[in-house]
Parts: sequence; structure tokens; C-alpha cells
Amino acid sequence: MDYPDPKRSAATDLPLPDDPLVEILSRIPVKDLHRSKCISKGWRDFIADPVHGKKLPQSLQGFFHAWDFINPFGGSTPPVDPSFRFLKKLPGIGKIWLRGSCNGLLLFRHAPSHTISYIVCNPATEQWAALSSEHTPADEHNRTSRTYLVFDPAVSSHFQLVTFCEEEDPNLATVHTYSSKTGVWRHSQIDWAEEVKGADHWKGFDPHTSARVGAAAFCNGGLYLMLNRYQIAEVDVEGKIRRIMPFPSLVHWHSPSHHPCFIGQSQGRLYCITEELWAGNIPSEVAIGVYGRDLDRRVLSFWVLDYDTQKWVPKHSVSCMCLFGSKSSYEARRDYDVVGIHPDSDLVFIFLYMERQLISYGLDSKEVHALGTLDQDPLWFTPYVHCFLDFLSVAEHDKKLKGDGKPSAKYVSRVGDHSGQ
Amino acid sequence: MASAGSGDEKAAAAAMITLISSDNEKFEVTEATATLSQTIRHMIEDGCTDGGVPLPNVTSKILARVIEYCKKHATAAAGEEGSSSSFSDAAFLEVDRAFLEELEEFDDAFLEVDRATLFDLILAANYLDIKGLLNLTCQKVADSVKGKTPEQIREMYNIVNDLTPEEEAEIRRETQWAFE
Repeated sequence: MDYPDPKRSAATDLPLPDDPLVEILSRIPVKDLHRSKCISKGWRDFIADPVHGKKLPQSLQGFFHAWDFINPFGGSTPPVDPSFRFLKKLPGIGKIWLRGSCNGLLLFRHAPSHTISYIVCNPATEQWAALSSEHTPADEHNRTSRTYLVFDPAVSSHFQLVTFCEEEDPNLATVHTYSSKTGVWRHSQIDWAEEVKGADHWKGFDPHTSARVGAAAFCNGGLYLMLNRYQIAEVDVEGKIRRIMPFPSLVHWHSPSHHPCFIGQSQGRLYCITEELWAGNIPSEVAIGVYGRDLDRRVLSFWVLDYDTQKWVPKHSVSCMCLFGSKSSYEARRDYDVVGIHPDSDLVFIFLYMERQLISYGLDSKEVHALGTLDQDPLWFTPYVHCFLDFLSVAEHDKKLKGDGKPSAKYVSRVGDHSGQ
Repeated sequence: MASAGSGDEKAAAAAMITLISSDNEKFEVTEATATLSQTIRHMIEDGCTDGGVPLPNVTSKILARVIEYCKKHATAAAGEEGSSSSFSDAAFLEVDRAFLEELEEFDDAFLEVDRATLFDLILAANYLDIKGLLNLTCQKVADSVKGKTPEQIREMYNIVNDLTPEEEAEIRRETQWAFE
């Protein structure tokens, strides 16, 4: 069919102006949208244009790693400055360390911590919020603490921080939560022994949150944390434990060969990746390259949490031999880390320490691709998805600063919008 | 439905607006129907609707369809207001549900148009700022594109691929995850 319409868009060759086009494209699933960049130059540029970015679904741009940006699929220019110069040059900012991300926002630890403990920023819009350290986890210097950033632009423009501080009694933890909506920290205590009493899989192992990449995930409003080798806790943004569940296992969840590798969110579902010795009971329809005769019988398994039944469903298993080749180093001990999962497809990212190589594995395609090498270990490998929404408007902050007598004013020491300064 | 409404609704129903299409055809509609369009609502608020509202971007063929949509949905809006104000028992919910189903059927039938008409409806909904109609028609186009390959979409809309093989290869590599 032909459209001899003068209103035909120069950009996309469709007979529509930009606004309705964005309306249409915003309703297309993220995979289809990014695939349609291949239609023509006009489509490519229209979809990539940041002006339309607020409404169009964005996907994984890559990973921040050691003040660099890793785009696993090539692409020469990083989408944002990975050295975060716009943050570092702000007055009063000392040293910063990237400690996590969630749906487009980044979490930085700040030193000196007696002034500012954390900075949350959106590198796409260069907006930022600095959190004062008063009455926060930063006060407790001698404790191990882990802080998680929670942000879901589909639900709210506000972010939350959830911090777990370990106590001397390994059964206890102090939880500090911060909401950018109220601007205040709240504090509570968790008694793990109490929490897990109800769970029949409790075997008396000390819970402690892990700093490892892939030890925490935010999915469907819940924050999931690896507690130890055996359990995952689901926590709400108030820091309350919703439930504690065991890691999935093909064999036996507390078998010594069982090793949880990763939890992460993809396509709205929680994934768990585990490694264990194969015991011959893998359903053949999910197992790839797993044979009883294999010398290397270690198997990487991919599980998806079924929200209705709260049970882990095996999606796929693959032998480590099949995945990593017949390299001896992988037979002797685990020498790789799962460092990420694509939020909109079934690609899993794995780092091989011996080769210093980043690879991807497609759960559907069953294909392994070498993506490049990394000089430094992927200790803080931080996934990044563009988000062009305001996460904290300056007007709102101003209202907060004027205070209306609310105690919240002093807790957010500064909120910035780079473009407005 | 309108006769069962309050006095205010009756007054609103009595106020008629004249819409004039690009080919000079005149359409008399109630204010309740016309104000589904934010553009017309603002004109009414500014008092510039005497002597009719010229719509130079909309043909009579498309305007007739748009009015058909607005009439149906204006009735729906009036119905909703009426039921939520004072009644909430099961019988009324049942009536609401039946009416919503009817509305859905209407929308489905309304979208049974050729592609050129669909795009004209989007243009009109965009110009007249009719949220519901814009959502409905844009969703229809989005559904037609869903799951299609770039080649299929090019063919559907007569789009020429002006990407060089290198450029296309680069996009395919960068969005490899989407082609899995």
C-alpha cells in the first residue's frame, strides 16, 4: 500500500508525526523495538534519539567496571561518561566508589563519610542526590554493611536504600532504610534466628549478606539477597523480611558440591544460577551436553522463580565442560563468575578468570560468544540501563528544604540537577 | 443513559457544538461528546466555538468516525459517573461490566479499518487530543508491528532500507540480544 501523504515522517517513512509515532513505539515490546533499528537510518536514529528516550523502553547499555564502560556488544562511545566527572567536580564531593545500580540510577559510596555517606545519581540526566551521614550506617564504622539501591521508574520516581549492618551476634542485623520520598532514614533490627525459625530448611548457618556481584536482585517490588550458601531472603523496601527460601538444587540443596552463583532479574522474573555435581536426575528436556560418562560432571543450572507457587522451576542445565570447553582449570575448581543477566533477553554474562574473558551464553540459543577481555576482576560489575525520567525533581527538594517544619530537611544535604546549575 | 442523568448533565447535553470538517461538512454534536477532545474543550472554555469549530486537518469521512467514537465513549463516561456517585451494589457492578464489555466490542469493531484510515484516525486523535482514541489506534498499529522482523515491517510500510551493509551489521551486533 502506498501513502502519498505530505505528512509522511521524514524520519521513519511512516505517515505520522513524531508524537503519535513515539506513542506507537512505546507500546512495542523492548526486543521488537530495538530490533526495528535495523529497518532504516530513520528508524535507527528515531529510536536512539534521547528526546524520545523518556517514553521508549530502554535496555541494557552495558556495564560500569573500574571507571570504564563495557559495552558487551561493541559500540565505541560509552552512553555516559564512566569517570563521572560531573559528580567529582561538584563542591564538597570527596572520593566516590560505584557500589550498585537499579533501573538507571547508580549508587556511590562517598568519603569522607562524616559529611556525605552516599550519592545516588542518574548519569543520563546528570541528576544527583547526596545523602548526609547523620544517623546512618556510615556512623557505624566498625561494622560490615551492605547497601542496596531500589528504584522502579514504572512505579515511582523515588528511590530507596536498604542497608544491612552486621552485629556482633551473628544472628542479628540492623537494617537502615532510606526513602527519597520522605528523606529520612528508618532503623530496625532483624533477628535472623527468629526469621528462619518458621522455615524448615534452616540448618543453623549464620546468615550474612554478600558483597559479590550477583548476590542481590530487585524484582517485582522485592529485594532478593543471597544470605549464605543455602538461602535467599526476600526483603521489602522497608527492610522487612518477607520470606526466606532455599536455593534451588537438582540434587540436594545442602550438598557440599552445591554452589549458588547468581541471582538476577530478567524479563520481570527472578533467575537463580547454581553449580553442582550432576547426579543423573536432570530432566532431559532441560539438560544440554550433560552425559553420565563426562569426566567433568559439574553442571550449571538456570532456575526461574514461579511467583504463584513460590517454587523454583528449572529452565535449563548445561555441563561446565560444554560451556567452558575442556579447560583443566575449570575441572579443578570454580574459576569463573556469573556477572550479569540481560534484563530483556536470556543472555547470561560470565567472566573467566584464567583467560580474563567475558563471555555470553544464550539460554535459548545455547550459544557461547566471546565478548572481550577485562584487565581487572569484575568485583563491582554494574549493569546500566538508560533512564531519562526525573528521579527527584528540584522543585520537590526545594519544598523539602523549606521544610514545613518537617525533620526530613537535614537528611538530604543536597540535590542537584546538573543542567540547572 | 443521558435521560437518567442529573440536571447538570441534561444542561450539558442540551448545549450543541458544530464541528466543520476540511471539506466543509457540518456535524452537530453535544458538548459532552465534543469535550472528549481536549483541543475542543479548551476552545469551549475560551468561548471560541460560536459559529462552529473549523477542523481543517480532518476530512468529513474521518470526522464522522471520530464522532462515532466520542459519542459512544461520552455515554460511557456519563454512565460511570452516575454509578460511582451513589450506587455500588452488585447489580450495578454487573451492569457496569456488561457495559464495559459492550464498549470493548465497539472498540474492536471500530478498529476494523484499512491501514490508511487507521493512520488518519491517529492523526485526527493526535490533533484533537483525544487520549482514548489515540491509545486505541496506536495500540492497533503497535500490535501489527509486534513480533515482525525488520524485513516484514519494511515490506508492510514500503520503507526503503538505506542502511549500508556495515551499518546494519553494526546495529545487529549491538542489539544481538534482541535477535536471539
